[in-house]
Amino acid sequence: MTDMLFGLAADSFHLHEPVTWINLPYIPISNLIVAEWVVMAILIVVAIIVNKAVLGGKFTKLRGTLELLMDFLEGWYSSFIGSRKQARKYLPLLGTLFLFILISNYMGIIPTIGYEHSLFAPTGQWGTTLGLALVVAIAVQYISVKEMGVGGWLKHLVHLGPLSVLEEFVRPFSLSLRLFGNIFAEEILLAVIVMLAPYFAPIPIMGLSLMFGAIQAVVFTTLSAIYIGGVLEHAAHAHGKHGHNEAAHAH
Amino acid sequence: MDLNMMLTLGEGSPNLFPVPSVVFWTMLNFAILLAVLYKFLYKPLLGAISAREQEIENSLRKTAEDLAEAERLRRDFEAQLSNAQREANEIISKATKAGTAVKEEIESEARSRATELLENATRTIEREKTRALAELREEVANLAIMVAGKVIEKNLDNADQKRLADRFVAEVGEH
Repeated sequence: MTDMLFGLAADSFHLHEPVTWINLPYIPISNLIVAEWVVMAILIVVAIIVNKAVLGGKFTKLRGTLELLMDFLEGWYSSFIGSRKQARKYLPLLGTLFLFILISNYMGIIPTIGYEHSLFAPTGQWGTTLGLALVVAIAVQYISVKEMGVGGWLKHLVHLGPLSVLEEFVRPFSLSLRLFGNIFAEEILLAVIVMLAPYFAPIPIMGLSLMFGAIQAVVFTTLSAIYIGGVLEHAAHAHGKHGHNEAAHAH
Repeated sequence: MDLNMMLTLGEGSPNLFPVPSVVFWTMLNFAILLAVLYKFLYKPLLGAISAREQEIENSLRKTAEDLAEAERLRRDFEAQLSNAQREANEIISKATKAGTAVKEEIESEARSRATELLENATRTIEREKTRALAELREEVANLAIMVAGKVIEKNLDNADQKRLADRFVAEVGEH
């Protein structure tokens, strides 16, 4: 039984390996990349429809709902970033990460086992999640430099010490592995169950996938917000070294 | 055993490690998606929210300013009103005082004028009386002379007549 399950899992591993569709030198386009494009296309089409239908004209209920949603997201991220003003500044980045990860996760819900050229959840591949985590890491370092200046940023790194500098490198790995591991495991589980019992049995897992997909998107963006918040807090301390240090020490 | 081997479940198992091209494509795709969503979704939405917040903040500030202005105006008007009240009271009391003074002046003038008139009248009467008496005395003297002349006719010359008349007048004046 165990052997059989392992065998099924191994098969699904193979089926989840990206297949190169267009062989460009160094940057081949696989079905994984195409899956990302599909995610992008969905989001961009929705964004353009929303832009034309909702944001162009007068105030509507739908527009109010969208603004409320933005307000909620801003409130949610501001609790990690520090202030609503800063949260609004980084909301496009965090929101886009959230939407991209969410739709990517949901791409894997419909089981396509057995079709080699099928699309699957891009986030079920470490490459994708590492790419996203690197975007976050670059953004965090960029924000550090922007807030503290190059000198301030270098001083900050020296001040942090080797372990904390190491942490800056480890973060993208932990961030990407968490998302990848969850979505990959989900996909394999779904694939194995589909292979064992194709009808009805996968439905509860698919329901769970909907939930986990959203949770993982929230976790990824929330952790990103926390990283950004940490940098901003440090920058604020560095800026107000004379004024705020005493207050900070008093706490 | 390398790391890749540790992650495999058997012969020919796939590579779970990140593929550089996937990392590259993901980052590029994400950058494009971020730019497009920013243009079509976040910028208009967040811009509208910011604009509305600014509007609300402005109108709140304006309301506070208007309220302060209204309060200031109210205090101004109250001050002006109490000023006006005080001025009116002053004017009334001044006018009353002036009226009283005028009244007193008129009264005293009238009184002095009356006194003067009375004195004049008395003086005139006295003078007229004196003059009338003198005239009367002269008339009486003349009459007496006339009568005496008639009585003694030829016995008296003019000098005697005059002396006689003067004595008579003096006697009459003594009475």
